Amino acid sequence: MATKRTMTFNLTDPEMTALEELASKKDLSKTAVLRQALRLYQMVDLRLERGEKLVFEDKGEKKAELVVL
Amino acid sequence: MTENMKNKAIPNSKWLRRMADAEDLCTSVAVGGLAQDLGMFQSAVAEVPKVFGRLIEYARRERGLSVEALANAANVELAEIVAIETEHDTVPQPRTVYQLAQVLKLPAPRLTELAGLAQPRKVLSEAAVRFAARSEPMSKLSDDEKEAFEEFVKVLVEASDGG
Amino acid sequence: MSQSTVNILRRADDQEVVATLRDGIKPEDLAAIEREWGPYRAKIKQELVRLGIDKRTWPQSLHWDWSKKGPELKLLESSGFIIEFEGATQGIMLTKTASYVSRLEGGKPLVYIDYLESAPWNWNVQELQRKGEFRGVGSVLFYVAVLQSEQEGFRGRVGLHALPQAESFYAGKECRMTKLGLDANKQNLPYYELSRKEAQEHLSDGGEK
Repeated sequence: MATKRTMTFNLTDPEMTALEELASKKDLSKTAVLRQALRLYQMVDLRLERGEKLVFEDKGEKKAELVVL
Repeated sequence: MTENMKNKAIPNSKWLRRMADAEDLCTSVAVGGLAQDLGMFQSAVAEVPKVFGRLIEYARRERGLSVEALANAANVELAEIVAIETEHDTVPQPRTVYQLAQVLKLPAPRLTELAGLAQPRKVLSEAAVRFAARSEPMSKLSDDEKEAFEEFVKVLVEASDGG
Repeated sequence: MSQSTVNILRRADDQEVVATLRDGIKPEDLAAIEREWGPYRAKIKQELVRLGIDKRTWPQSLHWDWSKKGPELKLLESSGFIIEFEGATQGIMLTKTASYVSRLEGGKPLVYIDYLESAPWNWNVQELQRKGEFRGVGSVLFYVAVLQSEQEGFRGRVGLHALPQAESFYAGKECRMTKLGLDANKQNLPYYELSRKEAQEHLSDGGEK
């Protein structure tokens, strides 16, 4: 495993709550949630850079919403 | 990740044998999208229409050679010449391409590109498309075919002069 | 890059041998591996062509080229693993941790096996009466994916799209995966997942005894 570096940051109450909810929902530790978020952000950013499009498709309405990050 | 695994002997013998036996029942346990369809795994020949086989066939017939005679002259397996001429996605051995180039007096580097063994030049791709459009598999080279063949060879030779 | 050891089986004398498992591989490593495997792929293909074997029965990974997979490794979510023995690369696997979530178990994260392949000299090619040199390489890589999932906190959950030739292995009772249907986004390949429960059993079955 690569060497680890430490970072401390502060979260607001709503942020911490959201983090805890996600952790519970995904059955992950809070650290793991943040790690996943970072990976996801990097992956999406790269694919958008390549010219791909990220879309949310509305199941009922057949309307597609383009996501721009 | 493997740090945590350092002291463990994985997997255990019984499991390994059982799994290996299961693997043996399949042709393959490879995972990955169907190779030809994925942009990630593209062969050089995807850039150029598959005219290599047709070119070899034409060059051979132009010289009045049978497949067997060509195989002998080039010191190459008969089956491989047959495969090259009839199967669109045959990838020939580099040596075979070289030998054929010598016998048929065609530029070896260009032939290598057409065979899908190297990245083809743009001018080659375009010429190959034209050749493919004009040529039809027939037992005797018609005047049209002869012309199409000669034009294509001209491009091959000119492309080689540049280096 | 780090490494540890794993066991694989040598067919010739049915002995277990201790191989090296490496992770953190780089794009250059992939290029080197393909230079290693390329000639063996070509040889198998030539034999198949020479014998006029129907292309539909050819090993489905025959045309692969790992050197093209380099760019994928740059992302945080990507991991590459190789198994090496006697200086030769016996198998490779590329996994992803953020591109897919579990469809079986409510959107929970899993390790997705993007690519997995055993070296050409390890393949059993029936039409050529050819048996592979080392056995169990694919199984060990699969196990490594389950372990990675466990260590990421994903409880061992794994997902993959199975190629037709490999489906019976992943669908079988040894791998314990659940089929979730054909995926139109992946050339209609069947999508399989290993649930948390089955993953734990798999780890315990394969682990130290």
